[in-house]
Amino acid sequence: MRTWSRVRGVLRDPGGLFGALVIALILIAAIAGPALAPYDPSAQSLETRHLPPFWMDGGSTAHLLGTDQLGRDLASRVIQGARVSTIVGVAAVLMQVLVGVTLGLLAGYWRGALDAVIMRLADVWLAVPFLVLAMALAVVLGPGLWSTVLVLGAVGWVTFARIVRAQTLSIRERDFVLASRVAGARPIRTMRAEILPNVAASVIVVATLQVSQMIIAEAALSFLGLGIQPPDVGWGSMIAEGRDSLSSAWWVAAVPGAALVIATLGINLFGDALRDELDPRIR
Amino acid sequence: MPRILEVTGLKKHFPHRSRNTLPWRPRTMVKSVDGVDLDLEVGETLAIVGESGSGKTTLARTVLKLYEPTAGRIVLDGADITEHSLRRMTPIRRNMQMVFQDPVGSLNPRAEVAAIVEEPLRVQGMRPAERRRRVAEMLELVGLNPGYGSRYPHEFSGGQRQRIAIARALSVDPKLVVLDEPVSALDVSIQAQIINLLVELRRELSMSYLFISHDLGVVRQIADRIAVMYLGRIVEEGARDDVLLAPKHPYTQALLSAVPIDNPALRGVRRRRVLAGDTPNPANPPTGCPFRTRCWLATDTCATTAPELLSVSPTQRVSCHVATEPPQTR
Repeated sequence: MRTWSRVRGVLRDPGGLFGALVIALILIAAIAGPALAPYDPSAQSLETRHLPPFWMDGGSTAHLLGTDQLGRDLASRVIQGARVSTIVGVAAVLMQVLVGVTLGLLAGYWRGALDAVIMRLADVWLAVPFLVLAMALAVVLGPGLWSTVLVLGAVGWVTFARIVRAQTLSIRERDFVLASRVAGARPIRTMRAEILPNVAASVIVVATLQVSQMIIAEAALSFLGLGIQPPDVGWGSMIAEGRDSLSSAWWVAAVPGAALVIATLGINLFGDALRDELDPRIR
Repeated sequence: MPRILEVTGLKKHFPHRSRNTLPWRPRTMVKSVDGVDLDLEVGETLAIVGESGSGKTTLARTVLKLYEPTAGRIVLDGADITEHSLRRMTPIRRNMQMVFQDPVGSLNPRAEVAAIVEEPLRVQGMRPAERRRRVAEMLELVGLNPGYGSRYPHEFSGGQRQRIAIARALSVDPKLVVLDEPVSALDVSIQAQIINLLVELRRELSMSYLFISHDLGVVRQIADRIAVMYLGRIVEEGARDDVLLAPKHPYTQALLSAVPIDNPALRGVRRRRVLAGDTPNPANPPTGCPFRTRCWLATDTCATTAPELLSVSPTQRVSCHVATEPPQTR
């Protein structure tokens, strides 16, 4: 009941509605991609190389968004790329949530030395530029889908740890946490049953916004050749492939670029609407 | 009567570092509770009264071992629990429960009422089916609809929330319940309801209450005995009527003279005793008697020697040089 009214609240916001539609499109493309795509995304056809999108001179409705330098259908490839973006975005953020929330809860609840160690580690993590750290890790782990997930997951936990720690510090002083000790609960149970539900709203909101960050980061890594490798198709690697023909066939890079922009914009707008609904305090 | 709780020489000091103190200087200690003796018989209600900062709440929380005592012993139902680890305290919690002052803060806003009430039962290892039955039973016992279990705390009024908190505390059938100002956050009309409920439940379930309050009117209705705290110590302790009608300690007298009189005919008869100054800083209490800085009877002895809690009658003890001295030597 409460959940349903919240869903309605998010959808009443224009940004939230747009975001929800974009997310739905991405998810449909990720799940049912092969069935939706008009062509095999890796089928090459040298006769139809660099076809422009259908609204331009020389374009055809057979290839709505045109083709790339190997004659592969861009629309099909963008749809295929949604799968990588979804997997990387969701899996990396889940990993960050798992690590960040756990460390944040422990630091905020126990304070003292443990808190100092965890937060100094977080400070060190933040002192190194995000992408540099990701690149370093990617070089060590080698490129590929799952090592990209691992890289991005390992890099972004600090955001969650800090938010959860800050909220835990204030929540642990409330009487219901003490009441849980009066009941005889051990610290782990108190953290899980009393504190975690009270930080969940912020975590969900931040996680949503973080998904779009991770999609962009994946694209950046792939653009640099450190992320997704063929035959996997990612929007970042598609942009990289289109870079060489930017002057003659700009759409090869622009089509996946537009997909990236629309996806992150939609997720961010959805996250903002979700924040207004769940947790208006953390603007 | 057997005793449910015996506290001897209990101290709780908190380290306190003022802003200008360098780290290697010795830290001062705030002596929130500084040598308290208490005992509580089965079925009895002992009220602890005192103003803000007197250490009432710290005393309550230390007795429950929510704070580690600095010194002293706590014996619950014949067992010394002073040194018990967190793990060993868990089964003990079945016998000692607590109701907090603010029912908004003491109920998890993200938990359903049923989950709140069953929390102690769950921790104590009761099976789910049994728990459900017990939760409904408890809600009914405190005068709430048993069907309210799936609602959230914010859907209830202050009085109802305090009933939920009471249901949670009593769910494990405790022998001792510490009530930390359980009605001071409630409207006056609701206060009476909750007090009546507490009195009734104590009789029905044969529990003992340690009742923390600053409201002497409320204490009059519920307490068998009263202990008056000042600056971390008990200055007077005795049967309710002794303390309320024949207070021996100057502080108790001053405290009682501040209670409004509801009968206009009696107004002006009683002498109002207004204390000068504030409570001294518990990090730096006065020498000798802690109350001497505000006492109108203070003598030289009070500045040098701390008075002990001595019996003035079989049912009343007081910690004051002036009150316990034989009159002729004064």
